[in-house]
Amino acid sequence: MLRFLVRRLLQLIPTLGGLSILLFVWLQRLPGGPEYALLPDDATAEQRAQLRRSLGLDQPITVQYLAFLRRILQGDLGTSLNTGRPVTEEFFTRFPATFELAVTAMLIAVTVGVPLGYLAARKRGSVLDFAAVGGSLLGICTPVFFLAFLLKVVFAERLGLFPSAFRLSPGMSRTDLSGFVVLDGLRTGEFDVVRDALLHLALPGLALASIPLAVIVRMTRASVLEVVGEDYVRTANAKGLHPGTVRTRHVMRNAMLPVVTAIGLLTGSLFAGAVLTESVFAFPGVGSFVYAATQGRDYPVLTGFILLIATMYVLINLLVDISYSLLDPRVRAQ
Amino acid sequence: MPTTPSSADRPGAAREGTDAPGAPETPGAPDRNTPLLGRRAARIDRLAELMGEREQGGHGAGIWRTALARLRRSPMAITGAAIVAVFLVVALFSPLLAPYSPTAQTWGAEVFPNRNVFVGPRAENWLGLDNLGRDQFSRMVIGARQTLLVGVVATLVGFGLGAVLGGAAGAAAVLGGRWGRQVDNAVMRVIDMMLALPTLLLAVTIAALIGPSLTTVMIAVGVAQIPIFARLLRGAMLSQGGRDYVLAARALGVRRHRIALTHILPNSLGPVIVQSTLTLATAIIDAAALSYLGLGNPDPAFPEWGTMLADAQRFLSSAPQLAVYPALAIIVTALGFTLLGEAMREALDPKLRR
Amino acid sequence: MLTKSSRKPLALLASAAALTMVATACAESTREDGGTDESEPFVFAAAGDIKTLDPFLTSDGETFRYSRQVFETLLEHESGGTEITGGLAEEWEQSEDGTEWTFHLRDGVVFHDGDELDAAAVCANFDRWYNLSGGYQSSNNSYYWQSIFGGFAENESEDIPEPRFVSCEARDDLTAVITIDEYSSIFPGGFSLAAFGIMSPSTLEAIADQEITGEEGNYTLPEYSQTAGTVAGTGPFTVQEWDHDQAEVTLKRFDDYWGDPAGFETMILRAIPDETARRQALEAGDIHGYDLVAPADVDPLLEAGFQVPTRDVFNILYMAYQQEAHEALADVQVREALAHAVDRQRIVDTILPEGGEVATQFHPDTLDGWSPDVRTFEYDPGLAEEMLAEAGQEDLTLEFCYPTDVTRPYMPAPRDIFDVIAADLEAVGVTVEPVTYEWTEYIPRTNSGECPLYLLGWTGDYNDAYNFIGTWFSGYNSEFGFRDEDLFEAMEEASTNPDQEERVAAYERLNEQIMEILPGLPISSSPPSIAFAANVNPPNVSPLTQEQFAEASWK
Repeated sequence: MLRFLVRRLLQLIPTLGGLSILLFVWLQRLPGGPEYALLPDDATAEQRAQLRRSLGLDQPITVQYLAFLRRILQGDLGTSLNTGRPVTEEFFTRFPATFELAVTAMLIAVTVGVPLGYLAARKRGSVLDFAAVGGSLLGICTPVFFLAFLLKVVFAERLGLFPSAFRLSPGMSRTDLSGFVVLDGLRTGEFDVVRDALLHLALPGLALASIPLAVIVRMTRASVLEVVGEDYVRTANAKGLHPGTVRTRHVMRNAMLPVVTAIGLLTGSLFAGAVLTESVFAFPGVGSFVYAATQGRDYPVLTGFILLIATMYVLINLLVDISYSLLDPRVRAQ
Repeated sequence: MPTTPSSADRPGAAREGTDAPGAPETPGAPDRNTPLLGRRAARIDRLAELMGEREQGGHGAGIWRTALARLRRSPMAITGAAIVAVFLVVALFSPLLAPYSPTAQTWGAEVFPNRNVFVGPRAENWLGLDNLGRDQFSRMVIGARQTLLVGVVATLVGFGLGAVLGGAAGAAAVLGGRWGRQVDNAVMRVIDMMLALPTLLLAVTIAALIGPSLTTVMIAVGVAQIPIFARLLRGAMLSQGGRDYVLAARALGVRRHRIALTHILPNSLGPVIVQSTLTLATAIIDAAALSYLGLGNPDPAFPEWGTMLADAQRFLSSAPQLAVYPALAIIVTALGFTLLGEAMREALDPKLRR
Repeated sequence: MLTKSSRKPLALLASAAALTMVATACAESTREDGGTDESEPFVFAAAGDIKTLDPFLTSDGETFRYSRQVFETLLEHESGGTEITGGLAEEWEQSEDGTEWTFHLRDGVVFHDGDELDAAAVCANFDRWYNLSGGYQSSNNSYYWQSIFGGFAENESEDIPEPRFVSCEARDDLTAVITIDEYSSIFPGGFSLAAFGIMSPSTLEAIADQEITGEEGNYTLPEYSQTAGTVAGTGPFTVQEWDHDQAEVTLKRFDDYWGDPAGFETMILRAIPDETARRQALEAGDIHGYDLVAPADVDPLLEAGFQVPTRDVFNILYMAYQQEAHEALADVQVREALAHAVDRQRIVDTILPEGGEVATQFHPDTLDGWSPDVRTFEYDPGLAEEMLAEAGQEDLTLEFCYPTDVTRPYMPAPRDIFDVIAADLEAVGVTVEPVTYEWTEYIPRTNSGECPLYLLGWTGDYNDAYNFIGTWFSGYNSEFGFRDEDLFEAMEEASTNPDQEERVAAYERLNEQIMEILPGLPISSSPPSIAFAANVNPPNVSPLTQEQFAEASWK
């Protein structure tokens, strides 16, 4: 197990290194690169040259990259052009909000998606199955921002059941331990804060859950159908095991493997979806900051955030790998 | 023995990156080295392999015929095909179908968005007027054409560049010997890294850097699809590379690039075409998202569903139809392409049909 | 046993789902018991977050909304109006030649940190501003100082104007005398600008060595302007916290305020950039008021029981012709043709809020100096086409810029306004190439003259025509890109004339002159709305959008 972990961690290095090269080349070389973002279009060639010098853009690209890499390794991803604060600081002050949102969305997707997918598979061809499959296709095809907007209009504006914006009600006083509102509230016993935060998470969480939910329903369904047809399930049934035992020990356990994998894969789409959802709900997380950065062409923020998000994505998938290996011993054995 | 769970080849699921025993190993696949990214990659590879496997099964070219036969019986495929057909007809013949100019504010004096006075459906304007007095029906119809254009160009960008990268890697791996495998390895490493980035986020970044325009949307959405296509084509080519006919061609002394171009490539395009159908749906939705983020066409008069939807959301309480028409259009069209694509994938992969 | 274990995962899922539901359900119930008690914070949504806690460093309206509650200036505007009244100075007088301004300060005013207001404190502020150096001298960081008081004691760049400010002298405890080198009609209005809020001597001492770091385009503002706790003013509210992550500024009632105490114990300013989202937040009860109500939302809000007081009109929206960005625009005939091509009445009728009107010149008719005799341009597409043909510009192609994702007091729905004008221009044969920028980028780009055609406007800072026309046409200005020495001289003459009546007559002539030159097309003046919840006694709304929230309270 330890060797497995070490191997996996070592494999991160070339991946992240390559990713940084890719991003670096990509963002430095695109038309409308930094010197265009920073200067007006009619700036003279000389002004551009000067800016390029001051940003180190006149150096050979390898030198630039090494400088870029050194800064990254020191945790310096530059300064936001819009706020004048370090990119890493901007990211990590906003990350807890997005993390809570993503976890909420994933929780909704899993708690609803897995049972729904399972039931759909068990009652194959029924109305429920049709509705689950149709609904999940619809979920994938509905633009997230529109869904978020609809949820807001119906549940916040019309029915007034949920707040329409922010992460906490204004003026809610709380003890800030880590930036994670819900966790902090649970630790300090400020349950009104927890409740308030959960309320604010409900609608954006639901909107953000739409795509993972759809994917999980379909995947669970397909997976269960596949496993139910396997020989070992037939064997288990044939030797007279209790149907319930077959369901949990054999069907669910095996059917869950690809779903667990999917959860790792879906984290990427969660971050992307957060850009849309958070901007609809004025939710102060990473996503709405990326949105602001795209508007203001805040290029250090964009590069830095992409790198951090990709790193996080890779790390989450590492976690998934580990949990996978717990579920499926063969992966470890290899 | 039978109680051993099999994680490989789960339908629609990602296969474990370090291939489970028994699963067909693709020659020279770098999956082993990149287990984390292998996930998504493996899922793509699955589709690629299928085509090869079937053919090997002795049906030869029959795979397409059987697939078509299956498609004809699938309600999913028929619904999808019908939607796509209607959309294509509307998009292609939109100038003939649109009764008015989509940009002329002919009835501008009849709508008062500042006082919530809108004009709904009526004899001359079947879907009513938009917030500046333009014919909504004409805008929807012409918008279909723009939406198709965005979808097709984006898909072509992804397809084209992805095919070049994936094709080169695949050809190198199959025919290039040790040196070729190294090229393949290097190219695929880059592709796998691109796969690690959430596509929409990648598109947003690109769009933000180039500046808002319709071209931007097409490029951004397209570029984000490159790795998928590249991975797919390469996988298909690898699985073709082992076929007997390739061996035969090599034995006959046919030049390598000729084998790659005339034998392997045409036989590997199947899964890529299936993926294109699915990508069209993604492209339409992602383009709408980029428009919503203000990265779409800056000309508000220009009718494109994503822009129309993003712009009309503010009237949702007073004139919901303005947002609902484009929203429905986007959802239904994306659904059509998805249904068709999924049905095609299923038809080609009998394991999924159970 | 077996069955028991088999249910475990499903039971877990079920309990998780139940937990979520319970959490939402009990939360629902708390949302219903609404009733407002005295200590409930009043939450007001603005379109953007503030930029700095020190208003001197910015020209941003959202920052001024905050700073007007916390800092006070020597002079103020009457509540809900545009007349200048006493602020920290109860009375003031100007010398005959208008260069010496004597301020008699209010007695017994204390700062939030306990310091007392005296003439020395006032002069300490002015002396600090005058002696600023380094990054502070960038026009980004001292915009209003440079436009009102000129440069600094030691200008570090040639681009900075010569100082107009000479000295500030504390005659006695409560008498401060400010000397400027030449009279200008920007006084006394200039003393009322929110940027010149007076800070306590202790604050000044604490921030004396804080610098602005970075270079042009990438400044890092000093710590004191980003974290609450250092700055102290004399206003009815103190600033308690600025939460950057939530884009939220929390203000607390200042109990030792010299005037009527604030009606709310706590006031929170929060940023919601999207106007629809602001309305939804008000309707959902998340906030108790917001600014820049979309015209279409006014009636539905009123029907739903919200309060939407309308401000008086004190702004102008125009389409600028940047004459250097496109040679065709240097031809007055083309500018006139374009003016005839645009149906401004339709914009006013269908897009702007009720009470808006077509503008005939570059400031609203509520200001002295507005001339009834300016040249006007009727909507006449036929004539426009003819004039373009005469000028040899049948195939004119023009870039036309507009800002995205923003509404301004003078410009609700910029996109729609752009769309209407673009369609009108296309109708007379002009090809329009739309260009969009986000607001923070739009301003520098249009200011530096990159856009041949663009939409922009202005809300007056104080009651003088020069605050409008002088801002644009007192000298060469890259926003418009033309030189007309006659106009510039006449402008200079008018603004330095201390005689009120003569000055107004001169402004009228200037307005006529400007409309002959036609540097841009004035489109409209329209009243921006502000909305409040039903249980709020709103403050007097101000045409200058300078509401004093201390006046507001719970019902």
